[in-house]
Amino acid sequence: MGFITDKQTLDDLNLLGRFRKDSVINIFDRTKTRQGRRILEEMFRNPLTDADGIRARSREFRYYSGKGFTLPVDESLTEPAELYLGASSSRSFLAAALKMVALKVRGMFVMDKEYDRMQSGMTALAAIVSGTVPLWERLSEEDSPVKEDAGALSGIFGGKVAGLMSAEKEGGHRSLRKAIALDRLLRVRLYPHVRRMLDLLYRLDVFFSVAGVAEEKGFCLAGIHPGEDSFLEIDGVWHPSLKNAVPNDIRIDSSSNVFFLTGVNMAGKSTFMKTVSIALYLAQMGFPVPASRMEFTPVEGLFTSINVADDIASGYSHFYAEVLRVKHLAEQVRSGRRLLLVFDELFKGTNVKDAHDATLAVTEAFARHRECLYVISTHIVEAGRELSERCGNVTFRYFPASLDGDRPVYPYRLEEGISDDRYGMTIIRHEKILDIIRGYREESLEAEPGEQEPR
Amino acid sequence: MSFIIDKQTLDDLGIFSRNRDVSVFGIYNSVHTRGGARILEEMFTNPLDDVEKIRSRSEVIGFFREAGLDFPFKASWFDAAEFYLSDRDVRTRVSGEQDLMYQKVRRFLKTDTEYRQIQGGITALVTILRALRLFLDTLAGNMPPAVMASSAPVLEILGSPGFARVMEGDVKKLTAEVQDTASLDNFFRYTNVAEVESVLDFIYRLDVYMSAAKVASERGFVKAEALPPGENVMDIRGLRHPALSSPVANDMTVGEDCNVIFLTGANMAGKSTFMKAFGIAVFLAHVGFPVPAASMRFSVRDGMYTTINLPDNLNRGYSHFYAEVKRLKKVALSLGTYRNMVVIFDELFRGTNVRDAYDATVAVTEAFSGIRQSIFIISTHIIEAGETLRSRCGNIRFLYLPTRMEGNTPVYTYRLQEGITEDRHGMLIIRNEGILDILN
Repeated sequence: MGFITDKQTLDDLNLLGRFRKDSVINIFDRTKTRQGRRILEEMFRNPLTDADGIRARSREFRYYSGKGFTLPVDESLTEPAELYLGASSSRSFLAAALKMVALKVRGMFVMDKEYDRMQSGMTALAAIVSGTVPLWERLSEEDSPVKEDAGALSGIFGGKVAGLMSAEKEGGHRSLRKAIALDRLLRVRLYPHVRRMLDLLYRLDVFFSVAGVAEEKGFCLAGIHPGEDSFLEIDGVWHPSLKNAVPNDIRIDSSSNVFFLTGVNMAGKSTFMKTVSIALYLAQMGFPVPASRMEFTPVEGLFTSINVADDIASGYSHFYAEVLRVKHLAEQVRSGRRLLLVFDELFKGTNVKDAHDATLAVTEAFARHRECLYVISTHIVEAGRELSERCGNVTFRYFPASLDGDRPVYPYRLEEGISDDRYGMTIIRHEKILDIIRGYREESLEAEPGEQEPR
Repeated sequence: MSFIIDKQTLDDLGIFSRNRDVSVFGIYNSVHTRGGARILEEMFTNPLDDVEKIRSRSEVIGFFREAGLDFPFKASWFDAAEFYLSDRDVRTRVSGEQDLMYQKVRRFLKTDTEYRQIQGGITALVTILRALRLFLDTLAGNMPPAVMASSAPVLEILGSPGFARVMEGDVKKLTAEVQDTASLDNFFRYTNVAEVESVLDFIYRLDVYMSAAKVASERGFVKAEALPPGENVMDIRGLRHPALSSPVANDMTVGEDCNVIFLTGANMAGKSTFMKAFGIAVFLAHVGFPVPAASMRFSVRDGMYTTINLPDNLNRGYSHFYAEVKRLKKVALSLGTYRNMVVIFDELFRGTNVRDAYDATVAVTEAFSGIRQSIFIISTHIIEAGETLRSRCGNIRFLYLPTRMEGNTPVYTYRLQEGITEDRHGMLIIRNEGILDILN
């Protein structure tokens, strides 16, 4: 059973989407090859659920980080090399040689580029083989995660073969006889090793790319928390797409499995919820996370409801859509899976009273399932107060806001407790709405002619 | 100065078509001419705030409704005539002085399309003018003063010698000779453009009034009786939403002693629909058009603001609450200048916590209730606010839209009742879906 999530979650977190700026995958993607990019995408699509798998992958990242590894080749070599390798389905010398002769003859009489393409593909592959030998030698050392493969490859391609290949580099043209010999070497005799070398190279492309990004941005590798109970603790976690993001801490575990966030709109609730979700998602992939320290027990799935299409105009039906999603998630929780659920502004599609009652009832019901962790936010602070009286396993945090003149100021730093910003009436007073209606401030009416738009 | 209304209000009420909903404009837009459509849109964009203008317009529509006449023109006539008249390029003017040989040949071979279009345009225009005179002749005698006043100058134009010469005889013969065509072309398109345009404008208005009358009689809309401003009268019987196929009618009386309506009810109980229906009736009454009701008396207002489907503009960093406050401020400022308004707020302060919503609803409603010349309709789910207001203000009327439970299914009557209701069904829906059971 793989990691379970859904489209809503992937969209909320902006994880995939290669063509979307600021998507999390794009932050990590500095791959040099098409195949590397595909492997990275594969990893993003399939986070791991077993502690061993996660540990093994993050151990690889740990090895590569800080060592300044870069891929010695890029797409300009791998593309023609792959084309050349894939062009022949035959792995017998005779057939390959005959094909080569046939192409050469065709190239001489009709304008057929096939032969030239084959020659340059051969040159590219030769350059890869000779260019990567130092990398294989370096990766053969004791603590390398790929030391068997790298050791084998440096044994096969080092020495004589490397010498042969580097001689190839200079000569653009080679005789048919030489071409047949080289072709035999690369596509027949050494083929399984060449294939294995390229596949390892693509995998390393991903690891080097991610390790480089992590080092540059100061990401850390998450550690797996020992023990069976659900646990998530992150220090100094920030949103990887934001510049100057403010880091915050979070801790949720089975003894306090609900993290209840309050605060006015815009104070940073949604961003924080996305941040935590992204960090967990990356940690489940064994990837470095944007935080200073992270420890967790792997979950089996992650669901967020953050940017539920905010169609207030549709009122009731929006509420109903939310109810159905909550129901779906309740069923997931009931199945006994260990999940992280993130709800931002539950039931905002309905009136304050209903939202209050529903948030309270649903949070309380979810909280009983200790194997799951929850991050729940609301601007209805009353729900938080009542919850604190009823449930012992809820951690309360809030994002403060203050008014600086007429501009709200948000420090984006979590504080303990429940927000008690009486922001609503403050704004109403600040905007002098009651005074205006009562007609006390006639002069202020004239001071703001721009506010009025009689037509 | 015209009736104050803004885009938010027009959108809320669905006056012009937005999305694929039925718009109020769409309901009335059954005009025959493009000019009529233009004038209808102009009228809808600029509702009136002058009791005399409103009365005279509604009187004209009322007259045509009584008369039950059909629009006496064909739409195709206007296509030809308008196309012809719109071309003011002097180079296309038909010249009778130099009827050159090659022009004769082209006409003979029927290849001079420009000339033939001009001939066709003149024919269409003359046909329209004749139909108009015939129509006005049949109306003569029983026209109401408002129609009489606007038709008098038209009749004068039609009776003037230049126009009189085309009113008799075979229409085709008028343009048989090049010299005659040239003279008429010059007359219609260059020397008497203003007269021709004012006649056409009269017909377009006729089109608007007659089709409005027709829509009203088909749909059973009634003439709203306009009263001078200042009295704060608003009395509507059998009010319904014009876009609904089987709407429930409600009565609505607001006055100086009771100028605030505090509306409660469950989400689906019909609060927004009722508020929209009320807003649409007020809007149409100020356009001078028949309203979807059994009867309506109203004193003319300065304007109307509704806040029913307020979008929150998160891209601009506004939360829903902030958007509401901004809107409230705009309305408040406007009330400082124009005290004679209709103001509608649906589900005020949805975007904040319960405590703030309660405080704000009480404070704002109380402040509004002090402006006796204006009418306010405010809906909310915070019934405690209603109880507090009841003890503080005497001029608030409490209405609600009830829900009857049949087993676990809510049934809505859509009929207004006096009082405050606590009906809410958010939790009911959650229970019906069994969410809490799943988790227990």
